[in-house]
Amino acid sequence: MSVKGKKRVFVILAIMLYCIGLLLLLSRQINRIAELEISNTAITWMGIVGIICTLLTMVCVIRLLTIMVQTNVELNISEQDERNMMIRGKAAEYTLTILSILMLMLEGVLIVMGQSVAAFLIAITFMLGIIAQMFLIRHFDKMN
Amino acid sequence: MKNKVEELRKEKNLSQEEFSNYMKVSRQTIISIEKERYNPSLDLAFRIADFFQRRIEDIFIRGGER
Repeated sequence: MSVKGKKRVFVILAIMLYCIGLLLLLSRQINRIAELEISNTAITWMGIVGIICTLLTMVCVIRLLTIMVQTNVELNISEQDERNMMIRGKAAEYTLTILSILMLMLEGVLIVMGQSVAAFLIAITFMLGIIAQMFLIRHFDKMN
Repeated sequence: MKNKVEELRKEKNLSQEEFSNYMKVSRQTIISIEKERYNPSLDLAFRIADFFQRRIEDIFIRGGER
C-alpha cells in the first residue's frame, strides 16, 4: 500500500473509532435522554468498549504522525534535531511539575466536595505516574 | 562558547538553510549555534568540523576571546 493510502486508512480508522468510542462512552446519557431502558451491565460493557475504541483512536493518530514524520524530510529533521529534543525534554519536565500541582489541587477540591472515590483514583494515577518516572530515570541512567 | 560557524559558512557562500540541510539539523539550531546561544553536541561539532575541514578547536573556542 502506498504511503498516501496508509495515511488515508489511518485517518478514516481514527475518525470512525473516535465516533464509535464517543457514542459508547455517552451511552448512559443517551439511555437516559432517549429512555432506551438499556441495562446497567450493558452500559458498563459499552463504556469499556468505548474506552478501548478511544485508546485505539490514539494508536491510529500516533501511527499516522509517525508515518508523516518518516516520509517528510523536514519533519524528520525537526523530530531528530538535538536542540528540539532538548527543548521538548525541558518542556516535558516543567509540564510534569505543573500537571502534578494541578492534580493535587483537583484532588483537594474533590475531597472537599465529598468525591472520595474520584480523589482516591486520582491519587492512584498520580502515584503510578511517579513510579513510571522513577523506572524511566533508572532505565535511561543504565542506558547511558 | 564562542564559534566561527557563521564566518566559515559565509566563506562557503552557504545560506543557513543549506548548511542546516547538510548537517541534518533544523535551521533554528544553526541560528542558535551562530548566535552562540546553543552549544552543539560532540557529534554535531565533529560533523561541522569535518564539513569545514578544520579542527574542532579552530571552530569552537571555549570561554574567552576569538
